Amino acid sequence: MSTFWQQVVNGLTLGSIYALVALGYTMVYGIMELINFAHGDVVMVGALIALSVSELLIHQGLSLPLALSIAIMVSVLVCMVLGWTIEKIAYRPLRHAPKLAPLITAIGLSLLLQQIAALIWGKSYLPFSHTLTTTSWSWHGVVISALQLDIFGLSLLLMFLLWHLVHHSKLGRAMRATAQSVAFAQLMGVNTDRVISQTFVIGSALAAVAGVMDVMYYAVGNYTMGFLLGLKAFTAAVLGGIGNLKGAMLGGLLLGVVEALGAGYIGDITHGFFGSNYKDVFAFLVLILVLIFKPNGLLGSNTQEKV
Amino acid sequence: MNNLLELNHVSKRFGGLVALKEVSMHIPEQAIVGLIGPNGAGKTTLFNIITGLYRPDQGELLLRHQPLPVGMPHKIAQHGIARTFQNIRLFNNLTVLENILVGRHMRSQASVLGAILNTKRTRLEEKNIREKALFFLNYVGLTHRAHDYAKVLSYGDQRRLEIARALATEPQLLALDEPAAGMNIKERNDLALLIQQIQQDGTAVLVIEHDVKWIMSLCQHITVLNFGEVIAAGDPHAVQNHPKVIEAYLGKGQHHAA
Amino acid sequence: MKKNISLLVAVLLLPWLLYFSAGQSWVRIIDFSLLYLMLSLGLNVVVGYAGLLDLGYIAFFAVGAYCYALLSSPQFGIHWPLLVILPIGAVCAGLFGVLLGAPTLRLKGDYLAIVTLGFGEIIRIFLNNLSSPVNITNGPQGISDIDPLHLGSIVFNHGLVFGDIRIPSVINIYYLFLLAVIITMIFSSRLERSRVGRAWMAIREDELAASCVGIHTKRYKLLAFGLGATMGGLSGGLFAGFQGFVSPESFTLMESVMILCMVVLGGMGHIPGVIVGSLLLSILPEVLRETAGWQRGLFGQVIVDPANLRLIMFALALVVMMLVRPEGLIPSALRRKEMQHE
Repeated sequence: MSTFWQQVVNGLTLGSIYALVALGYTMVYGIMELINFAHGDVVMVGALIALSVSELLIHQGLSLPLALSIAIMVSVLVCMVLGWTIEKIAYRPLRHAPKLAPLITAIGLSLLLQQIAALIWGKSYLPFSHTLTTTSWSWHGVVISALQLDIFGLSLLLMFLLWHLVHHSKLGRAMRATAQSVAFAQLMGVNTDRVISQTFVIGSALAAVAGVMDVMYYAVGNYTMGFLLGLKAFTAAVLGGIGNLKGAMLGGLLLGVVEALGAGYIGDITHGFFGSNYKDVFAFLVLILVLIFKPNGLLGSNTQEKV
Repeated sequence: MNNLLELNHVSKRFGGLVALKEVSMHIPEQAIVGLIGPNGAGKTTLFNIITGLYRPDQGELLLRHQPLPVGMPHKIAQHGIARTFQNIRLFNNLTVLENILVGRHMRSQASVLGAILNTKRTRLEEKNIREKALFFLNYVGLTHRAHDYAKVLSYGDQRRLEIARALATEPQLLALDEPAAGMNIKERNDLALLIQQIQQDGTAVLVIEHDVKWIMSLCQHITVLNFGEVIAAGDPHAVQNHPKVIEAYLGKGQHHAA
Repeated sequence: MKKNISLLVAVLLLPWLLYFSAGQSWVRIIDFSLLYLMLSLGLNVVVGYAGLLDLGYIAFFAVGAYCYALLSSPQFGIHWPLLVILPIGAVCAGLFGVLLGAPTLRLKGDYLAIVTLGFGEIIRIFLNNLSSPVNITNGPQGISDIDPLHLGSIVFNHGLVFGDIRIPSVINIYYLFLLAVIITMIFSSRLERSRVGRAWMAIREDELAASCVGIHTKRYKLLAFGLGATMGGLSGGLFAGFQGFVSPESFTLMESVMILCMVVLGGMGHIPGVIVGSLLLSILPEVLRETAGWQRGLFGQVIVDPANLRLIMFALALVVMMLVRPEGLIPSALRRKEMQHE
């Protein structure tokens, strides 16, 4: 039983990172019906910047917590600017273009970000050798590290803040209005261009934090790290019901747990025929099953096409 | 006259909302039947059930006394019921002619193999499809627009094209969902003439409409829905003077003013 | 007709011109771009005609390639002839297409995209891991020593000698692939103009309206998946025989994405558009390999890693082309004009 709970704990940690990234996908999709394929790479940029900046500051003699805090702030800022720029340059001009056009620019941007990152940071895996704390608690054989708690707690806090922003602020109201209908929101005096920009900025800030968490958790960063992470986060968003904030949070956590449990048990279940090297299959398998049986995701509303 | 289509006690609910309650109506062969009622009366829901888009919760649909498959639009079309949509649904990025060619789909057989081998049979059939399509194009007076994209047509022409596409399936019943909506008087009159022509050529027509006056002059038989129930049915004159109809359209206690 | 003949002559002479001016490696690049063109034509059936956004298309290419590899290599010691395995690979891929298509029929647009992406990744993960406990795919190392493309004693992967003329292997392959491409092209263009093609396009434009004129939409969507996959499987077999080696690395999401870009960039649903898109995108990255030389010319030294720079420029090209021409490079006006001339 302790393996089970250990995997749940690991899964929730991973899942909270997925959830933060999934929020970015879901917000953009909710408002513009666009899969922002470059979102995963924004996570990567955030991660690598935090990694470099903190290494640099520690080298300058700053204490780890201080260096890390500054690094997070820098990476959040850079990613916000990046998100804003991406929307402005690559998506805004295509708002009325055929549907696949923005998908292609998104793919182009994703490739662009990866290659630029490869130029700056090189192609090898960059280690992050510092740990804030090695404290951990053990309870009936289940080990929870302080880092896991930090990641989980910070994610929950950010999700709560976002929730509050969307439901109790003027910007949030404008976002929800724009998601309902861009045209009507404009008629009601909402500057939808600005709302869309701000959505990208907020999503990118969350992505940056998620990137930092990922680097801390796995203690390594690389220019391709955004790809699979982004893919899984998008899966999480679809799983929960894309366009739905609660869905992204739930989908992220759920996906993390399923993946961790799947990786932990597949060997036993198949008597060693399949090993944990199949763990990435679970994300997609879950997604496919959910979509087949509940095509709008777990929390998505079941809308009937209006005739 | 025999009935082409019969609906017996058809009910449909969406969640807690009862959209249709025990609706029974019939459409005689080769008649023009009007379906009227205030907004939200359930007209389009009934339409969607007849054309297989929704499944009724209860009740039966009989086409020439044979039960009609429910909830399968393509099967319904194959049984000879074609429709248009309230908010015009054309194949926008296909040309006018191509839209009608698609309408000939179920009147032809070419398979993948026939198509890629371009067999003689396929070529003959294709020729036939084109001739028929041109016939229907001419029927609604759109021959000169054959090679324009459907999306660039004017509103009235789009309505006509949608009707032509439905006619190309050679239906026994043509169901038109608010075909006259948004048209001016001349366009309405032209449309009425077209509908009468279709009837004379042997196809029954079911029309949903808001404009009571227009539909009264067009139809031989009218069914009135309100809050999902049939409140009156019969010939235009009888329906027009039915107290429940006046009440539904003008509100309770107002019919003296009318 | 005259135009067509001169075009055919040009296409037949092209590899020789390239061979003697730019060298063998460029003919090889063109060989690969023909394979890409075949793949694009297959994906065009799914995305361009039927409007089903498939992001895992490369999986069918993989199925075809692995079928070929397993049935004509030392892996299982099977060495069947080309004319048997190519169809087997195509049919297997087609079956996979239908199998993967069936559960996704209710899904629309982006949901379909992500599920197909998932299927594509699952297949790749399996190829990567089906090496133990039973070794089927040989894992990440892939399968090597695959038999060359051959018909009886004619081996396309080797040079052929006819009297005094020696045809280099890359040119043999070129003609073989060209034949395959031309056949695929004829089939697709016939489909496009047929009842089947119109049914697909009707579904793409408005699925509900299509079903209301009697089109069995589910059947036609499956048909599109199956046929598209079959074409993918066929080119996969040719790929395996040409390379002599397959590994999961060749079948990543990036490849699926690349083929989708080829279809969309030129103008999807329209064969000339697909041709332009796939040739452009398969040749452009190769041209961009020359960036090291350009840098030396400009700055006297190589400042930026050419491999990086090449992909950066490719990515920029994608973004810019979409910004300038969101409907694709071959605009639909051309298509319209062409139809009026029929």
